[in-house]
Amino acid sequence: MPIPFDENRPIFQQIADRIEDDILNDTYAEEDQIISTTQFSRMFQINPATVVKGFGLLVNEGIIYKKRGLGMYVSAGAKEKIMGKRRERFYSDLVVKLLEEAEKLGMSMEDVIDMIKREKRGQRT
Amino acid sequence: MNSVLQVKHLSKSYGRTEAVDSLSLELAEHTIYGLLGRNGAGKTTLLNVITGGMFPDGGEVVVHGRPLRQGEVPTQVCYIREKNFYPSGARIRDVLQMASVFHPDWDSELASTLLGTFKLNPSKKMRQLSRGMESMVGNIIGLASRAPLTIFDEPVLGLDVLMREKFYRTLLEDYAEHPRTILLSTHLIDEIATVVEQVFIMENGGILMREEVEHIRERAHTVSGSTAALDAFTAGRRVIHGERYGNVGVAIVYGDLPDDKRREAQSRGLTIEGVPLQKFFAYLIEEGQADE
Amino acid sequence: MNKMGVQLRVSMLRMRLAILLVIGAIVVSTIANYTVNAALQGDPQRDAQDVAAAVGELRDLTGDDSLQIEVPSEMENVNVSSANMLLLLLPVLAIVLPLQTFRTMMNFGDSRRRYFVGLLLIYAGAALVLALCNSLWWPFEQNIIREHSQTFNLIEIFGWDRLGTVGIFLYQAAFYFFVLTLFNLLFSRMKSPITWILWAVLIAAIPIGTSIASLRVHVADFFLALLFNDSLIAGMGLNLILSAVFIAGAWLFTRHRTF
Repeated sequence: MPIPFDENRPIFQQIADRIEDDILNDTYAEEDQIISTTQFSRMFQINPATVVKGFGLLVNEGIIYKKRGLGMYVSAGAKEKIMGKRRERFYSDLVVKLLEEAEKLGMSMEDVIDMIKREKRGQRT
Repeated sequence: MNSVLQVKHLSKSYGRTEAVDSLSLELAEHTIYGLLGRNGAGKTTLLNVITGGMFPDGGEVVVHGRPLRQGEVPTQVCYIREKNFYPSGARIRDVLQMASVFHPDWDSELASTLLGTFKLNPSKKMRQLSRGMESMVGNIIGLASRAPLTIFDEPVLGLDVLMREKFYRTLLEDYAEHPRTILLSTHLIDEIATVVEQVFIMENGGILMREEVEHIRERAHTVSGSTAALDAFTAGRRVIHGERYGNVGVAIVYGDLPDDKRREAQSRGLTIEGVPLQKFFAYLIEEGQADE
Repeated sequence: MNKMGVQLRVSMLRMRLAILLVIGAIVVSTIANYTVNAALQGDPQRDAQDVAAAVGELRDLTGDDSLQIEVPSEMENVNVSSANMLLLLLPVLAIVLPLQTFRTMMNFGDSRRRYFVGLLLIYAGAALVLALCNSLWWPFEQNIIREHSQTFNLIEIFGWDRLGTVGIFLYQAAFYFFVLTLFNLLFSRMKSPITWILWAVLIAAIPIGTSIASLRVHVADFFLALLFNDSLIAGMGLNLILSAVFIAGAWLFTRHRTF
């Protein structure tokens, strides 16, 4: 089944993100075999060359590796690597934007932190 | 990469209408291409000339390294026309068998599997088929031919969404195992956006743009905000389409946008989003016409 | 199956209706002729008596004793030979095939050259089969059918029966091939102005050729040489040479024919 992809970013990056998501939420544990490029291409109706490019991105970052003749596997320490990478992105994409928006709305830093604390408490109860 | 097809300055006119106007393009091996354009942009004429059905007024067609001479039909090519000319009294089974004779790489096992996938009864006669079923018979021939250059003209005409998906999926699946050059000619871009690697956009008999789909995705942006900020941003960039309402406006801009530039624009209050491909092509073609 | 097999198959599919129609026409006309012949076969003596009685009444009525009606001694109905009627297939074949099979074969991925050679083979086969049918039918028609009714047969009309059994067959085959290639030429490229000129010339040739006296002799000579030739070799040769010219023309048309 084809799933909608974000129009703004290349699909190979979105493919890499999707595999990373699956590793973060433990769909794939370390040393697990992941879906093959052919399967992925078929399942999401994406040109195999694009899928290979997306997987290649993860191979270069050492998140997955290829076992010759067997397929792609999740590297040891992949989850750590992804988390580190995502934390950086969390800061640049979310924190910076959050503060910019807060400034537009005339909210102080304390207001924002209070809001976050309130939300966290609400979830716990 | 080896070239499978080269078209050099090809022209073909009907009376005073230039259907194909000094068009050049090249297809490499093991790639899926999209040929996009509105109805009447000259796609079918181009394909007919490439496959020897029509003769160019000027220019050259080279298929698998061999220049096509007048009256010749290229070998190792399978062209599935939008309108088929199979005998209406023939059964699907017979049509497939007849087609197999003309394609040395034909896979009859695949052909019979696809009959099941696409829910076609091989005993039905061609005249009993709906438009969609007719398209599917052609598509089975195109896929089973495994021809080094396979061309589909409007392959999903008359098919419902599920069948379209099935076709694209089957195509990708078989392509993964048997890479070849495939050219999909269609006016429905969104459907093939993830299937093809490169697109040729055709309008008024010429190629308006040749690009990798991934690049278009990266480079096409919808930018909106105050006209002042918008004007500053669009200066020196390729604006494909623009609309203004009072002192706000929206523009579709094409070009690389590094992260720092993006952040800078956003800090000036501009919103930057992607562009659905179908919309992008529609605007691009409109722009091409305005230039005429 | 090979490419020739596909072409034969496609040709059969396209010709199926035409073949059924021709065979249907032959059956219907045979039955009709048989019925008419049966109706005409009355008792001549009783007919004569009836006519004499009627004439007598008329004489009484009009008071004119010189009145009389002539009755022909034998009434007869002349039919076209059933085997000759098969020849209707010649023009039909050479019209339907170029019009209806070119695109189909091209659509399958066939080349113009192979298609054209295949087409000629089909024409040659058709000419031979039809010549064979008529040759085999001819003795049967002479010895059995003519006992019951009078028939026209091309073999007799053109005097081919003087050429012997083999001659009958060969002359027919050559002439049928000539007819096929002629029609094929006329229907090979309907979109070309050259075809239209060809048509115009052909249509104009008939009235012009027959109305101008000095030309008329040559036209007659030409048809005598083509159809009524006393020499088998010369007759066949002329038919085949003209066929070759038509084939060359049709090939030029086909080579430039667009899809």
